[in-house]
Amino acid sequence: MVTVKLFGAARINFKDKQVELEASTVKEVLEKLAAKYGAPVKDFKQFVYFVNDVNIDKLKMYKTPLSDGDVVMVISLGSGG
Amino acid sequence: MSKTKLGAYTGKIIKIDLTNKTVDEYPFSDEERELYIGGKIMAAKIIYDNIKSKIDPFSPENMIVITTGPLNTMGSPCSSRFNVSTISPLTGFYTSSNCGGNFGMAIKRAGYDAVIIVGKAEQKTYLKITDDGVEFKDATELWGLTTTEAQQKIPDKGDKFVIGPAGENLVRYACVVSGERAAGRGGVGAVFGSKNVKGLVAEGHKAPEPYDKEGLRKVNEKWTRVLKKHPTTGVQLPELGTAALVASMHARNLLATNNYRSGKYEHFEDISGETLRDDYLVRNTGCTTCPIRCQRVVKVEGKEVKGPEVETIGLFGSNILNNDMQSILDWNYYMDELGMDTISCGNTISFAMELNEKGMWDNGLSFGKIDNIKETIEDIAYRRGIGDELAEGSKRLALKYGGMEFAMQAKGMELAAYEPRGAVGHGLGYAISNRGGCHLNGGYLVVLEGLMMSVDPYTTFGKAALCIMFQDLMEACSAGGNCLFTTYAFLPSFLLAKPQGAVTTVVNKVFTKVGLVLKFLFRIPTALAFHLPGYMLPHTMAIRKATGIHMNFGRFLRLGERGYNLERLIDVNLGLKPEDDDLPGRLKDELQIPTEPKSKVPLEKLIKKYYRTRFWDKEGRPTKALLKRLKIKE
Repeated sequence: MVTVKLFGAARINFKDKQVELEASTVKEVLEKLAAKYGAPVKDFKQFVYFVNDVNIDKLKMYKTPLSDGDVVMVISLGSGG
Repeated sequence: MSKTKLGAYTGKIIKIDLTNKTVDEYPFSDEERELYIGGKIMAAKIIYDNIKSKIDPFSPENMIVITTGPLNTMGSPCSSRFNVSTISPLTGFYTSSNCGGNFGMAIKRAGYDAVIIVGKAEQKTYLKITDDGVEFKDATELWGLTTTEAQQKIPDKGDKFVIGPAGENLVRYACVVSGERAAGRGGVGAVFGSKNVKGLVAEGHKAPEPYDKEGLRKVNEKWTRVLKKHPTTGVQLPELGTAALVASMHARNLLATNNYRSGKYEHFEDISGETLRDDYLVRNTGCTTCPIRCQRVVKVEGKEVKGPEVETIGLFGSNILNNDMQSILDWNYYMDELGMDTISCGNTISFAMELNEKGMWDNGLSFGKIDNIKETIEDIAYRRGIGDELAEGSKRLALKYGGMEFAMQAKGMELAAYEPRGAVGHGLGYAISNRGGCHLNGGYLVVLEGLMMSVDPYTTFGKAALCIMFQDLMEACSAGGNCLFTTYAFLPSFLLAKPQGAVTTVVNKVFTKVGLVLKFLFRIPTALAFHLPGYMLPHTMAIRKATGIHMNFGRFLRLGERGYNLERLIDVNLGLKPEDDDLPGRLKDELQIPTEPKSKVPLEKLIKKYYRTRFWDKEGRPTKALLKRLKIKE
């Protein structure tokens, strides 16, 4: 089971703060989120994913493997400060 | 009859001499309007022409220049911003501080493009500025009042702009407040206090006409649609405010934590924009003319008040290890009421905490201990006890107690809440910024180095040129009278649609070269003589339609370049040396992440490249050839 935390536009669009999912890769997280919220997978590609605080672009992108207890952060791009 | 042939300007600038109680017109030609346009650049021109050597910022010699921008009152979105410039009591150099609300538009409707204040009033004074002229009014009854109380007590109709007790007591980072908005940075409020001026009230009834009313209306309509549609300005900022960035900053090691010893805060969720919205937000609101509406309305002591920005949340949250959001809302309100910059105040307090932790100054302040912060904020505003020393800012504290390597300031002004070891180009910006440790005047490269794009945050390649490009771009936007949030649409939606997709990944890789390419094109006068698409940079077309000034992308960047160099020249005249373009040792010498050898700011290398790319000499002064090209007379 992995914990998926939603921030930014992901929180705005899908309302949940976090969800628990069975997933073995980040790609599977996207697919399960898409199924859960009834949105196409491509809608979830507008976000940036971090696994245990590491950007997946430093790992294996959407193929990044996940283990029990991993935390996936879903973050949207933004600015203003 | 208007004294200008340009649209959108009143054609009149006044100089108010507090010492002699006189008001004179200040000459400013249309040629100068075309070169310096308005806002902070117009103000820089006026200060550059009048202050040629080091002065005491609290002396009557200092001047305050309040400027409007050509787009104020022109119906453009997010265009109610006005500017206040002076010599900063925090840095001793030029500072400009920008404010939303209606005051700037009232100044313009009263018939003035800018108001210059010089000298020192003999008695406590406020100034009333209307279409009929200027009145010097007694402020004895207003002295000592908070910013809300003072605005309520001023009997005159109109929009107000006042200092609180912090400005009266010359706290070096006191701000000026209009409605609930603040001209926050650089201590402009203390300069008002030093001149015995509690504030101004402005009322006017006639805005100038635009050059091409119908053309401007079309540009404005399209511009508003773009902002409403853009994912940042249309969704994220209205929904979550600037605090939307907290989670992203944490994830990318950018969230100032524990006095910048880390870029991550374990309790970041408690102080995130999402938590602010879900648990504390009453509603969002915004400045006049703003379709973004990023301002938070929250409750403090049962009252609905303005909520904090991400900077305040970072500096009074993660940076002092405080995850109690309500306390941040409370302190933010108190600081607004007392009239103090939340960035410098928070940063100075965290520095004092580390001094205490290291046994260098026994002051009772500790990381994670929040029960004495409210009292400390009040003590600073009234200069009581340790507050009297904290009111001097972190650099002066470091000179007294030591610890300069962890006093998080540049040129004497405290850094914003972005930890720059996770974005080295942003660190360069802090160091070079004309007004000291400012993220905006620094170029705000963190937007490219993580928040919106994913340009390699550790590379030095191309960062100097990018920094320059964004500094110039924001300088020009600000001078027009716009909120800088309008520049986020500069990065079009399609780039943000798939941030980890192939197209954006390629753009991230080549983006480091964009600044260099632009710099090359800049040498060919006609190469940039076009308008970028309206969804990216509508400012150029709006200024053209509003004023009749022949504006395009190249001229817009050149305008920003002119402004930035003019500010630099003022600083050079005030004694700026290359060693002032610096960062605290912690950020240059200590790795943020022990396993990441690049996680520190390689400042020396970046500065050398920056000087060269800016056409500055080794002493950091603009070269004569550059000044000639920019039409700046020495």
